[in-house]
Amino acid sequence: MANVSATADSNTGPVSTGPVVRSGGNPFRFLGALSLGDYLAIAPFVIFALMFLLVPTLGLVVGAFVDAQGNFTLQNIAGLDDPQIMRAFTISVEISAITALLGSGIGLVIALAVIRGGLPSAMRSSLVTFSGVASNFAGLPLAFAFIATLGRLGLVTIILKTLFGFDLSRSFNVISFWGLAVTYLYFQIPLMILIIAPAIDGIKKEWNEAAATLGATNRQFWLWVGLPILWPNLLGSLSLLFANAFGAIATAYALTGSSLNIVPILLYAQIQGDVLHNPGLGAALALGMIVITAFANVIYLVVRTRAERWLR
Amino acid sequence: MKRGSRFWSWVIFGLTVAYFILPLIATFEFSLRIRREGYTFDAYAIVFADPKFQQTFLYSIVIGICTIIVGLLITVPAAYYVRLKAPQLRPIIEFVTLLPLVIPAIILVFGYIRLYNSSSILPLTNSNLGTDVLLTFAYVALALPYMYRAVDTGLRTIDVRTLTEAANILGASQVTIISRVIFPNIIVAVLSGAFLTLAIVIGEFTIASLLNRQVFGVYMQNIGANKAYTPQALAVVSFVITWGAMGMIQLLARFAPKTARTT
Amino acid sequence: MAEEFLRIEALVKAFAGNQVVKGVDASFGKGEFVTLLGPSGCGKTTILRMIAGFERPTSGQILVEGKDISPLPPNRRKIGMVFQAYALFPNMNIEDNVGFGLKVAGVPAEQRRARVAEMLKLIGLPGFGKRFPFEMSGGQQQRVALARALAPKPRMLLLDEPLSALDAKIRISLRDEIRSLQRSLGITTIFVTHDQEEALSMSDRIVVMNEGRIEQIGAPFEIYNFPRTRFVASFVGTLNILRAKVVDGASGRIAIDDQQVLTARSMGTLQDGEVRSVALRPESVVLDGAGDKRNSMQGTIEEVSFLGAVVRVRVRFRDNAISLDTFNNPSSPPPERGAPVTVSFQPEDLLVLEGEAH
Repeated sequence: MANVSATADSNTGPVSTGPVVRSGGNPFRFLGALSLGDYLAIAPFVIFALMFLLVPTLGLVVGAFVDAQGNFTLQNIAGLDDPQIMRAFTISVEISAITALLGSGIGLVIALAVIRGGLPSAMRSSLVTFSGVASNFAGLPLAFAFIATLGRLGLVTIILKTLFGFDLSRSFNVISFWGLAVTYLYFQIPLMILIIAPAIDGIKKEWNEAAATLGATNRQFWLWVGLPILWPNLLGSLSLLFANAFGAIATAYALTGSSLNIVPILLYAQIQGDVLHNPGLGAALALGMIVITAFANVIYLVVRTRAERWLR
Repeated sequence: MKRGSRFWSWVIFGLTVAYFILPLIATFEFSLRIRREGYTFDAYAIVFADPKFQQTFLYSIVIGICTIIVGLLITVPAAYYVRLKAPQLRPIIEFVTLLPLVIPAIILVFGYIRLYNSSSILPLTNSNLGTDVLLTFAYVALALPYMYRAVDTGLRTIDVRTLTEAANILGASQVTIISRVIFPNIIVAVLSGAFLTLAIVIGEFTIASLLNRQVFGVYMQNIGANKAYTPQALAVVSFVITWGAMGMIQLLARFAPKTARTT
Repeated sequence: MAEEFLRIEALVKAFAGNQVVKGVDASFGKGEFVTLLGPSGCGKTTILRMIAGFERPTSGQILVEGKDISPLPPNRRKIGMVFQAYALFPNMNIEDNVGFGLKVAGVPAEQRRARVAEMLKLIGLPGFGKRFPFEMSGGQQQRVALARALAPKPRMLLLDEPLSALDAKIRISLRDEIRSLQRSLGITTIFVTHDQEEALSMSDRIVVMNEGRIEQIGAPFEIYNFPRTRFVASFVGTLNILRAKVVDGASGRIAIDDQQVLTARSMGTLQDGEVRSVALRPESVVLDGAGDKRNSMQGTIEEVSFLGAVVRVRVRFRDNAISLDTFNNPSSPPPERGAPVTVSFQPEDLLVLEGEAH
């Protein structure tokens, strides 16, 4: 006797209907498909973007190539070849690179320890929350905070002196290149944690387990699977941290003031009082900053999209 | 996880906590040291009593609120329509919201000064009101990425498209839909964005100082340049406000509607 | 059964006071294909993970070839595992993925290459070595995962719901592939699934589990046709379950909705008047009495579902109803709703289930 039941089941069994397809608009028709109301909705955004983001920045870029009479010139850019200005770029690059490297490295270690180190999972969310807040701590309060911590009369300095007889202020001045670097790390490290945490989350537990069943030790896993997967994200975050430090000014202004010659400080002084005695030079300085930060950010974005493709 | 590696994880966690808590404690401790005799809150008393503190703080709050309102007027309709009618515009919109993160604040304000000074079509910097407007828009730009993301996430969580279609079928007008259906459901997300904006505005210095606006940040810098101990008191106040704002956001997250399941 | 390969003794696993595996004993032979079958949360995956070493048993022993493997970490158990989510390493191409276990073991590159090529041929993807996981379909990825697990010649293969994430058609074809691969290699295999069709078609033996305990272990034929408990009966295959009252335990007579029928076995242990659940497979019921069936009952047709080749008919008696299937016949239309009908079946087809009637 034929198995009627089984035939019935195979006829009514699960049928794959494929992924849900959302009907989006035809890209070439989208302008026509929007009504007046839609234009009104998007208009404020567009106008705002133009007036307060794109045009001012482009104006600066153009202004770097324009002299006082309005003619095209490369003089402004040439003017950047000034020892003071070059020095400023060098120091800016140095501090950005150092805080990016240290910030990435330390941030990575912390993120790995908290997310993959066998700690309770509640730690992860509190770390990420705190990082979200701390990465915005930059600026004046941060400078004041580090003066209170590592300055001549700072808490840590005093503790070190009373407990260990070690006078920190003799070898370390918080109002200096390294003082600024340590201060910058306070928001660079959390920023790194914020960026890398999702990437570490993306290292699925199953990969660990699969590697284990194939005989790999923890070290072998990280060496051959974990770190290679993280690698693009690491590169991207280095870039982002670099750009972040390069463009920062308020912290530096409050901590080192004009004693440390970095590009944003120089630009600030130039905007306020034309210290360089050359308005076009200000635009050129700005162009230099834009080029460097844009370049770093583009690296970050490109790397991130490629990494996402892998992990699909 | 082997026991040994867990130990090191705790060590690292402990060191991290120490590194991040220490400056906060140090700042607070420092702010109490203003009198040589011992710990007092005098630094705070001085600060709160200072009329300039009250003025600049109030000014910053007002600018902050204006920023929030303008920001919402710009982002909410745009986010709504991108989700609903023009998803193709999404990449462009997201690119725009990335710009404030890529362009440093000092570049932005420099661009504004050059574009809107006395010799341009829109000489905003000529008048006080004009400059205030410029400042507000600058802050809207700074807050744009966060505000857009907050609103967009809120819309995505409640599956705007389906809600709108359901309300539509039931006969609601577009205005009714936005005011009675959509907005109440994204209010938590909106408030999150608002608190974040407030935190950003309160602490800002660069843009305001170059536009010669007396905001809280400029006042802080002034105090910082001239005094000791009171700047730290101000820093603590600033931390508390920022933490408070973030705390509110966390709290609000509990009241947010859960993700809609798309079927 | 072949010599014993894997034995589980009194295995218990509790998470935070909640017992997920409540004392399980089982023994599996070398080269056997065993399926752990049960609904979500029954503990089957937990047992698999304890065998793999990802969870530590709260108590009990796991013995492989006579030796307790509990003290060994997962990476030293020489067990291959295939996961539901494939878990292929995304940063490596297929070749490197499949060869990973060999690389870890220090096999020189030449030999690795040869073995990888051999495995790729075995799974039917010979030219795919340089491709990356994200370029391949789910079914292909799962085959690669299988090749990767088998490349280092493990002594046992564990599969954790490997087909659940795949489309129905692929699932069926992959099922056969896995089974024939396992047969040709002769490797002891433990397969976890909640899909009873998979379990029935692939296994040498099935372990049916529910709420942390084993309900029944046996060959597919046995489990399907002679389920020992109501759970097994209802979980494996479609089943009609009826409430019956014992009329005469000695002769095996019971009454369903006051209609008396015979069961094949004497039920001397049951008291007259006791209420029991009985199970009846739809395929053993025939409409309108075909000659040699010794039991028949009168009922009314409650629902008729036309399913194409098959017509599923639901017949109601009073409190009980049964579903049965009949083939589609183009020359005579399906029976009408509300029509009176006789259904017939053999006494042997009635299975009295353990436990109280529900």
